[in-house]
Amino acid sequence: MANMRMVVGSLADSAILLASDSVGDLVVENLQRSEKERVWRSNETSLVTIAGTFINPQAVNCFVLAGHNLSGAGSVELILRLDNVVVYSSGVYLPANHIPAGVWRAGVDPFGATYDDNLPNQIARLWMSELVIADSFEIKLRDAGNPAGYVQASRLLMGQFLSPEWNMDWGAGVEWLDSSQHVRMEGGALQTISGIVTRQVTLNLSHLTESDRVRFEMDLAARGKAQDVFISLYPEQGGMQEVTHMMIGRRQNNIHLPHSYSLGWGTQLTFIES
Amino acid sequence: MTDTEFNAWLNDPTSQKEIIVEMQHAGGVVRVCRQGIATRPTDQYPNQIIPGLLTSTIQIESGFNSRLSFGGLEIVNTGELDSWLDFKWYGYPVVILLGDKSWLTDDFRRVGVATNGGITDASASQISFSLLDGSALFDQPILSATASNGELIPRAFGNTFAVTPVLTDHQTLEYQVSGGAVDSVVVMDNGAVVNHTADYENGKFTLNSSPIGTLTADVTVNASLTAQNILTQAANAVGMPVDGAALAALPAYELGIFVNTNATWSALLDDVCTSLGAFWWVNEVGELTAAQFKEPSMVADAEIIETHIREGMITPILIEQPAFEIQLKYGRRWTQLSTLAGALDDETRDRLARQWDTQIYSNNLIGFRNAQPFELETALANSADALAEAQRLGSLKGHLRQQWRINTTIAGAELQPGQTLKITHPRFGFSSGKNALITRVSKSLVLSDIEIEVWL
Repeated sequence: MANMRMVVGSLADSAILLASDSVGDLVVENLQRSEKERVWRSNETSLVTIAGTFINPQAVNCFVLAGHNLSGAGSVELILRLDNVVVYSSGVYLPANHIPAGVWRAGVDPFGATYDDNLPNQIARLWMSELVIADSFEIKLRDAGNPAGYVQASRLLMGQFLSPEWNMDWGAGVEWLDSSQHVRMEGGALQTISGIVTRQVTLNLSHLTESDRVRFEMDLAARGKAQDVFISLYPEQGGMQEVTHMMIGRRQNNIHLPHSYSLGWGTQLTFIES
Repeated sequence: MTDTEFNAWLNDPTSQKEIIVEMQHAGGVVRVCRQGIATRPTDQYPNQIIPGLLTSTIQIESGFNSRLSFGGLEIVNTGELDSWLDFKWYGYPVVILLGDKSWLTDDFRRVGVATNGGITDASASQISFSLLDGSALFDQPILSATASNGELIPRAFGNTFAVTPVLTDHQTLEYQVSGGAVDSVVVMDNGAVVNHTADYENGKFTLNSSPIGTLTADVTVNASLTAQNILTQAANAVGMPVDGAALAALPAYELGIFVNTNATWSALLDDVCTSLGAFWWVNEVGELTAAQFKEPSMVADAEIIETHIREGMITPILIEQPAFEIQLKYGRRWTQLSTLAGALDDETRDRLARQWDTQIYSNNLIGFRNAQPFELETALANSADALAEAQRLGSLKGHLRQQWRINTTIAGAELQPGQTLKITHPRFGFSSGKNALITRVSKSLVLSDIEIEVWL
């Protein structure tokens, strides 16, 4: 099982983006913005392409497209190039996490239902087995049967993931923050005023190595709380466990890296969903 | 979306309520909301972003004794909105729309129209605006024209008595009693009627000779002028629409008001409404409206039961003692005469020596040791209307009255001051249901938290 991973910031934020189609104010540059409502949208659904050019060649091993509306049949393809030569191709893959046979309930779950359907922010992610140096990329989205009649996404993250040599401690987890309020009425009934549901991830890393410590200080602490962070507690595990334990958020606490024991460092991290 | 569907959504505390604020400024319009919206292709504003920068929940409060209030407007600014500091906001409309985030913005309903009071505070992370209700428009003076001697040209409304004319030409002895046309003028010198040459189209008259004593005039501009007429005139003067149905429901008492100072339209509306036991305000959709303080209707406009009321949030806030006597003053003489002409009969002398006529209505109270008289100065012009209003007030103040405050989760978009609310609750004498007059409504648009004050 892979250790937890996080991607801090996005190399794609400084890239020059060009989409084969976009509508109104919903331009492709919105993928470089944090606000969820700032989506990029295309009325083309059979094939829409986003091309990106890095200012300088970059090392990449992770790709995240968040806030997308791809249906269960929608596909993604990522191609990385260096000097116009393809150096990586993901092939066409379905980012949706389909409920597998045996778990899928006939007559209850819709045909083709995915775990992602119930999440407020759908995320397509791709982990590469090794770092790839590229100076441009191309993302191809295909979703001809999209029920909305358009394809959209709100955030694009690309970069090198950060993962400790020793995994997080037991006890790490997701807290679902719900701002709803219960109100008791004179007649005894309980009414609930709906709020907004977001997630918070808390984890302890008690066994960071010296090289881990340096990377956490340089890549996470020094870049500040304003950076979007993609965090996945159970990467490549699949299923609902992976889906519910990954999100784009921002660090809430300050980074403190005490020297816990000889050659061992530790820290505690809290992220809130953005 | 029908009104029924919208109200059902509004009264559902589990619905996801979103606010869009449309802020006009001298150079255009900007929109913000709380959660952020990317409008759909079929929306009235297709494929646009309404940024989720609004942190205010918007608290709208309206009541008989207060102007409409919206609270403040707080908008997150991390630097992108720094240019807003240079925009011209003051005096431009702010439209507040309410709906569900999942809806097209076409289905959002207009729930408030405020006037931008400008930026009140700006920090590194936030811009704050004050929101004024439309009543601020009535804070401008009624009179602006002046005579050659610098005196304001007065304005008469309805039946006015013993007003002081302004001398506009001392060579020809031309006087003016109103800034527009008048129907009739009776000119008096120390109370005795004197002849004059009329120029009523211009609100003027000319004397043949200089007056001996104090010159006054009884001036009529539309003898049957009502509150509805005056409120409509005021709204026209400031360019505001009126709530026609509400104004038509006001009693048609004949009024008389003379303005010869820097009084504002707001003060005029206060005087008019006080005269008939009413209150005026600018409603949530930006119309001038008014309602008379009166017995709750037999048929309620809305109903609330114990399951709608927050636990422990139904409380009496005032027990009003009755009045043993109503002293209602009317027929105001706008100029007090210290010297009267000798030829006047006793009745006229008596009348001119007093500033007011008075109608008195007595209540036969038993057992109330602290009951007090109730005195009211009005702009009513005739005794019949004054008697009717005195009797009405006497009935309203003829026994113990209560004011209650209730907090509810029903969104109550339709609840307005002046409406009748039926309250049913196992305690406090409400078990069979009682109708009460709504006197104040304060509602948080997104939190389903409504505070209502009623009188019964």
